Amino acid sequence: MLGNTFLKTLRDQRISGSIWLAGMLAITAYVVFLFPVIAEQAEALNELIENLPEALLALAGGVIDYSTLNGFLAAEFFSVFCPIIFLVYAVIHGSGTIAGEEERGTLALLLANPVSRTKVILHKAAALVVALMAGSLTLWLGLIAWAGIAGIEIGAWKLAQGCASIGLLGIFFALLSLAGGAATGRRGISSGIALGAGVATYLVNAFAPLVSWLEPGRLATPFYYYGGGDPVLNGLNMLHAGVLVGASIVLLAYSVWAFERRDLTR
Amino acid sequence: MSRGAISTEKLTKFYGDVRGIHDLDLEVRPGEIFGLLGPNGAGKTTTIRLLLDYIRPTSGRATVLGMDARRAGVEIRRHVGYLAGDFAAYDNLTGAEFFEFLARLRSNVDRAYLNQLCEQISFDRSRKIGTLSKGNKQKAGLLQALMHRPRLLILDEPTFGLDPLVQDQVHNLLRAAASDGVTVFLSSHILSEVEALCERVGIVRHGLLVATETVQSLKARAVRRLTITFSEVVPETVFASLPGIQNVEVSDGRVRCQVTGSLDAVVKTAARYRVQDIVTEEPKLEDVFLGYYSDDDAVAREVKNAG
Ligand SMILES: Nc1ncnc2c1ncn2[C@@H]1O[C@H](COP(=O)(O)OP(=O)(O)OP(=O)(O)O)[C@@H](O)[C@H]1O
Ligand SMILES: [Mg+2]
Repeated sequence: MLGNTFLKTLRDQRISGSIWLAGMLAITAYVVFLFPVIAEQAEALNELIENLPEALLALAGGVIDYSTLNGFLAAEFFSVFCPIIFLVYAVIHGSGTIAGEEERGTLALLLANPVSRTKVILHKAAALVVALMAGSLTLWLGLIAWAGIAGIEIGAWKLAQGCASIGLLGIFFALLSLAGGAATGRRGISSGIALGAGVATYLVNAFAPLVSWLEPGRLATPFYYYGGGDPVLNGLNMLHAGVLVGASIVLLAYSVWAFERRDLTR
Repeated sequence: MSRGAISTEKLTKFYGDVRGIHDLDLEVRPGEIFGLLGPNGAGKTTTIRLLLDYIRPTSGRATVLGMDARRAGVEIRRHVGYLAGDFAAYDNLTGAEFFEFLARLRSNVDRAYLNQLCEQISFDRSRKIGTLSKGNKQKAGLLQALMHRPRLLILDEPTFGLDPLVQDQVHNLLRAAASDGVTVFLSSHILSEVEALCERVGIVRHGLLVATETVQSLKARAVRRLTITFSEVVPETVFASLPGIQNVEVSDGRVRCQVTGSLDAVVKTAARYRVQDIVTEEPKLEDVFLGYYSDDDAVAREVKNAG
């Protein structure tokens, strides 16, 4: 795992990454085994939900159907919980990998070798992308495996699309914090900006259906393009996924540009 | 293209309003050991970080091994070994893993040579870098700078904070490298270190290169503080008139003075009386500057002219 900067960056995540993935397996087990209990009361819940005011329904993530596992996951798991665990992991490692090394002084060591700054940052970005894809894959495998064991019907293909969408959201935030670190060399600043942006855009997206003047702002939030529980029910919106991918590429290009041109702090 | 191992032309770096280094014109010849000598904040680290493209000059330019420092960084670093002043390694790697990682990164490492060096300075590669003492960590830093047989070594205060024994080991490694034809560029704020190691010295202060000298002429200029205790009374006037002597104080058979350059005249004069003890203090860096400036006003004027 020491063959190059890409592998070394993955190696740096091997402990926290393993815990993250193991935690994901545990949590997917919890929600899957919880589902039969919810499903028993699905009719009552659905009736309740149908009578909810439009506004509250939107806040809870739109279309909700507690009678299927996908519906249950879309309403609870993919709207609130997954964004949090992906956002936190993405920001910790996105800001840690350049700015963290810079603050510890090991970036100077890396760059004393015949490698360009561009190459270092591309390797590090690739490692982040791979880690988050591993997260999204584990999420999917965990859910279908537990559902299989519990004998619950699950829409595996739609679920895969939901997991892909959360992976893209994670990658976006990882590259956002990477960009902050590449531009400033400061871990605190880059993680602060990325977390702040995450929380703010989440709130804008969540409240936009209720507040008319927020509505246009929705289009500027990554959570809108992520789609909450929607991909798990209706499949990936390719246009929206494309926006996330495009924004991530722009962030990566900015990272390279900013990192190449500035003075290193240590 | 310049023939020098390092050559700078009016190299300047300002951090906002703070002067890092100003109008530096420096020429390091291939194969020599060159010392950049200066007190804290003189601009030594700034100069070194400019050479390695960690920071970018405000104006001026630098060539390293004949290549432009700004444009050919990757190619330059292939042939340069660098040890940072605040060298930090991956604490969670063992020495062996650390060297392995760097060897893959730069793919021009001479592993047999690395093994030989590790033997030579008895460096234990099985321990995690985070658990090493300051001296052993510094050895790891030096080994990573040497292991690809660079043509040029750039070392920022390589012996700072090391005990004399390890310091000696480091000096020997550098001398051995130099005798293999490696150019060595190092910074230091210890006069005796550059005297012991270098052929030529650049003296920097407040971001300005004050002088470039051979070590011999630096020694000739060095101001030493001397205290001679006699077991008889000596006349006050004998010492005051000697060449190169200043600030003579005589009291109770004890003479204190400052001597520039050779101590020959003073010692021979003292020998005419009964000497109990002679103490010379290592010349302090600030005293070296006395040879160039009588006071800080001169520095201030110089700065004004330069700026
Ligand atoms: N990143 C920075 N931002 C602002 N000022 C800086 C920065 N780095 C160095 N300086 C200033 O530039 C001047 C030269 O600093 P430099 O580190 O080059 O000195 P030095 O000769 O290496 O000193 P030392 O012996 O303490 O290592 C100092 O006044 C220092 O405060
Ligand atoms: Mg320094």
